[in-house]
Amino acid sequence: MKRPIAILLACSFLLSFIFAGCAKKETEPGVIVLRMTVWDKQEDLDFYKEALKEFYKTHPNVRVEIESVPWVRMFDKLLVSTAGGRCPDVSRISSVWFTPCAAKGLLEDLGPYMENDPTFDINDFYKPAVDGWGRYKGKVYAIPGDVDIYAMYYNKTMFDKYNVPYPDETWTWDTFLKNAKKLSKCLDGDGKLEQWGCVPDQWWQDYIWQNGGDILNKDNTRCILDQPEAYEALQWMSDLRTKHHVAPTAADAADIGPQKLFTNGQIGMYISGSWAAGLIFNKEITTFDYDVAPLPKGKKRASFIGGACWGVLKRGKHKKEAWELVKFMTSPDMQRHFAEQKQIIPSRKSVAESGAYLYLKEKPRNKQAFIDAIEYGHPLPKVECSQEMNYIIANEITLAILGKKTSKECCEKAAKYANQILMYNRE
Amino acid sequence: MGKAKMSKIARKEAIEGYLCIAPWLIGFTCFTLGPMLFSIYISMCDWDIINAPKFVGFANYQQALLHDFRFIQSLKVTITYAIFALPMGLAGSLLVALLLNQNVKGMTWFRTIFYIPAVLPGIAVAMVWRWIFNPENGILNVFLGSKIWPMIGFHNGLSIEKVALVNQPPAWLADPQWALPAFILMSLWGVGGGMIIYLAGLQGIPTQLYEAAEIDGANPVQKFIKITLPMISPTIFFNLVMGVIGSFQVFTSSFVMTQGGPAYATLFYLLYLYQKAFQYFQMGYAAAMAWILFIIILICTLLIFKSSSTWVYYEAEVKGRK
Amino acid sequence: MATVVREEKIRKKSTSKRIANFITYTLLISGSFLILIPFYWMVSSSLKEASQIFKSPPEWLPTQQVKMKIDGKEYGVFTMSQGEDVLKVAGVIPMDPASETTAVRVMEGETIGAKELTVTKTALTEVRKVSPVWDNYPEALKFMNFLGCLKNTCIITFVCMVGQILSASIVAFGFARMRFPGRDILFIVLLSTIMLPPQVTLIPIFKIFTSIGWYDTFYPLTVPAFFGGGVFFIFLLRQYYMTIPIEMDEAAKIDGAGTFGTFTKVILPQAKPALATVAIFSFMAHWNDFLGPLIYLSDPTKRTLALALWSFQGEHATDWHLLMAAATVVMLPLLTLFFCAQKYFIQGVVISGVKG
Repeated sequence: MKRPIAILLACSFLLSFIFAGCAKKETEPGVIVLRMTVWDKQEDLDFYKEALKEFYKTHPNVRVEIESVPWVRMFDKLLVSTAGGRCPDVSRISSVWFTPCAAKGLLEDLGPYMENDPTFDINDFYKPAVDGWGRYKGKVYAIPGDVDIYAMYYNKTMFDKYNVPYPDETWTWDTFLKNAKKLSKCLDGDGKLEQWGCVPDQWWQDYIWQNGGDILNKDNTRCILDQPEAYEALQWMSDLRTKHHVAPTAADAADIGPQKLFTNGQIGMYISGSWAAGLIFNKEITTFDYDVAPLPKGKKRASFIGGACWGVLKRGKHKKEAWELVKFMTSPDMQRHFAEQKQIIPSRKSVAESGAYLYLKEKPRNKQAFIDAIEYGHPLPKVECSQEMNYIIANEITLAILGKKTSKECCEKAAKYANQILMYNRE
Repeated sequence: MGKAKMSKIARKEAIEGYLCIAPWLIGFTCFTLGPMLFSIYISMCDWDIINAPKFVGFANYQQALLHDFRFIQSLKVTITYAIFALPMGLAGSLLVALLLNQNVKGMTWFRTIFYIPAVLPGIAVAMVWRWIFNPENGILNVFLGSKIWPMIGFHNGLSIEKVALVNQPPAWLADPQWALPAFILMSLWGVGGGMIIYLAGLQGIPTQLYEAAEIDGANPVQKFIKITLPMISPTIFFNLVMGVIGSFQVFTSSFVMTQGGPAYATLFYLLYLYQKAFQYFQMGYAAAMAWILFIIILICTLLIFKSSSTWVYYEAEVKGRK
Repeated sequence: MATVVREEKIRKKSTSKRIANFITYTLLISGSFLILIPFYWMVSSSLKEASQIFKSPPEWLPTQQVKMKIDGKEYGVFTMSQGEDVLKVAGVIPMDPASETTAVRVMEGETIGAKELTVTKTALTEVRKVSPVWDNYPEALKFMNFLGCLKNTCIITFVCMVGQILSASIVAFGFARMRFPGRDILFIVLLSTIMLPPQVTLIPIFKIFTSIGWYDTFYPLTVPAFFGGGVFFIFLLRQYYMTIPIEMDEAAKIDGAGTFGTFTKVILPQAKPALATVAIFSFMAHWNDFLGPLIYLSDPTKRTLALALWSFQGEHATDWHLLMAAATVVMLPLLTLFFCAQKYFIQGVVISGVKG
């Protein structure tokens, strides 16, 4: 009695599952279907679908299917699907893993396409962006779509409360420290701080660059974290937490995260990117007023720069149409849409410095700080093994940040291991 | 005439037999044997899944064993974990099983409660424990660090003041020294898994043995050492082997809670292998790591098997027809 | 004389037995308490407001501020001290973030009176009552796309269960009852693969599946179940079949059953406990599987519950109240199954552990 039911159930499951796996879409003949992968969430895809209507007007024989892939899985998806023969045609690519993408041969060289297309002007795009996550070994493999640049968000209400002058371009790191001390307070009398002047270690690279150092040498063959410019900068940064007590410790921030501490109003100055305002701060900051200022100046100015770009996958089947789609996604109109919707800095100079971004009503008001910072933007090292190398370095530096070891020790170790990885990857 | 008939029946049975095990045979070739051979080849190559594999001989093995500090670290982490978690787990589940074996009232309830943690999805467990280990708000540090324990003190005469158990509770997952102990602690929550097996084993011990020992005047400790332990030694053996293999399979908790940090304190072997294979796409290296793991486990199990003849006591069991 | 000694012995035994019982119960109860605390913590956190999660020291019970709605405006109840007295007041919430002071009205009993005061915000203490925030659950489930993931997890789990039961039962039958050349050698090969760490074959299998385009589909997670159904299950079933008396087979043969008939009419019905074990363990293994879906699935609509929980943590890393709600929900199906089928779980562990 039980068995026939069980077999019936089994069969129905099998059937449903087979159908689920084999769902194929029917396409009209003559219509080219392009697959585009982005990391926006499923709910936000309507934005693209609306915008693509313009694209269909000029390209009536093309249809675009958009797939949402989480940011952390995007690189995996591109790599594995290419290996499996079913890669998308166009993808949004992050500067963080652009170099491995290009180095592994996933992307199509866009040089020939740009040459044959007089309407496309690569010079309208910010040069640091094109060099940072568009070019690999001299060839252009992707077109930058937007720019993330880092500056200092600050809690205006807190500054007003303690009569501290707002940060501006005259600030040096000493000014920064002085004012951070004024803002770090214990509010409820138990001796522990609940309010801090800053959160320093989000982008430790900034400190090193500003101090004249770097992570890799000029031709990316050696890790130079073991130089004094690097480890002194890191030591200064970790001292903010352990010596001067102007920043929360790892335990203080554990599981709340420094960002939430800022949006809760407990941090005075928070270094973050231009994308954070639209995506997070304007929604979550409800109890205080905030704005943005340039990063303080060290021996020179530097700020982390990154962003996203659009690329054509080399093993796609409709590369000409894919190039048209990439052109569309990076066109001035699309960039205007993006900027107005999500407040990210467009990669085209003409659009960024126009009303589309600079004069948007939403906070932060001082968007000029971001635009100015682009010229001294410094991207992450462009090597194929950058992800692994960053992981190793970050782990070594943790000990310095926690105050368990001096920065000099940690940097020397980090450099040693990074050099190992570099060497191993060079063959 | 008789002989020919026999072989025809025998042949029919043989064919049917092969048909029966056909699913496994196919699976074995496609999913075990073939991949194993392929994996040996890959382990001697440089391969990132998209470009052709490049043969490099034993370079991967060399790199791992001699030059790669993360590999050594992952071994260290996994072995340290095994050294602490295994004995504690074995002893813990045995202890609980012993307690439960005493015909206490409500035994089914206790048994259920202890066993539940072993049933739950690893990711959910990892998340809950991450919250428990939170240095500021997690329940563990609240218990340890809150000034809620009354203690008699001498301040201007006798007074009762509230103190904390530990003045500065560790930062657990945020502290390189305490992250691995946190994992070991977490593993103790799952003692119920082994407990059930011990219970079954304990219940298989004939009571006559205990009665005979009582008549001889044995006390409980002697009864335990001379009767209980030897009789359940096969179960201990089974749990030990499974435990060794299990400690090399720790993945989900470290992936979800710490990603190997802080400062590699929780870089378990399988996590590192996963990173090499699926985050950095160095498949050849990961395959080499898998083979090194195989050899390590093989050696461990052989050692345990070899030693078993000295401490494991088997009763003769009746098996089905051979 | 002998009876006196025996009586004394019995009395001694009962006091020592009582002490032993007492110790046992204490240990068991404290042990259970320790085991249950994480559950309690999970559920209580899942019912708290976001702001209460990070209160230091943490509170045991979820509480919310006592609120009232009057004339369309929401008032929160506070207390404040005025000299020696403690006043109960009500103020409009949410309060204006820019100002340091706020206007409140003194309460008379349970109603809001007319007397107004302007006080600094820091002078007010919220009046809270025990009140679980049930809304956390729908909110968490919405983010997790719970139903979709549940469907995916069910599909994968049930297909695998069916596959494993079907294929393991028949393969075990071959090894247990059939005679064919090489049977014993092949069985030893099978046994040795139990000890093989899955990592060794992980990467080649990944390559195989991705080369045939099965990345981001359910196939890599389900198809292997039909081919060999888990070697441990084959071993378990084979051992169990061996305990079924051969006479029953022979009786069936006399009644005219062929090999397949013997399998279905004799072995399968007799092996129900072992098959139940296989079903339960297969269910658990596939429902809880994390690494498999992690490696093979990337489309958010194809996620299983385990993956959904992981990405939920990634996106809402600090919304612990929602995370705990999601974790509770993911644990529930297994807990329910466990309570209903407890007997089979325990029995299954026994069969595999002791007979193995």
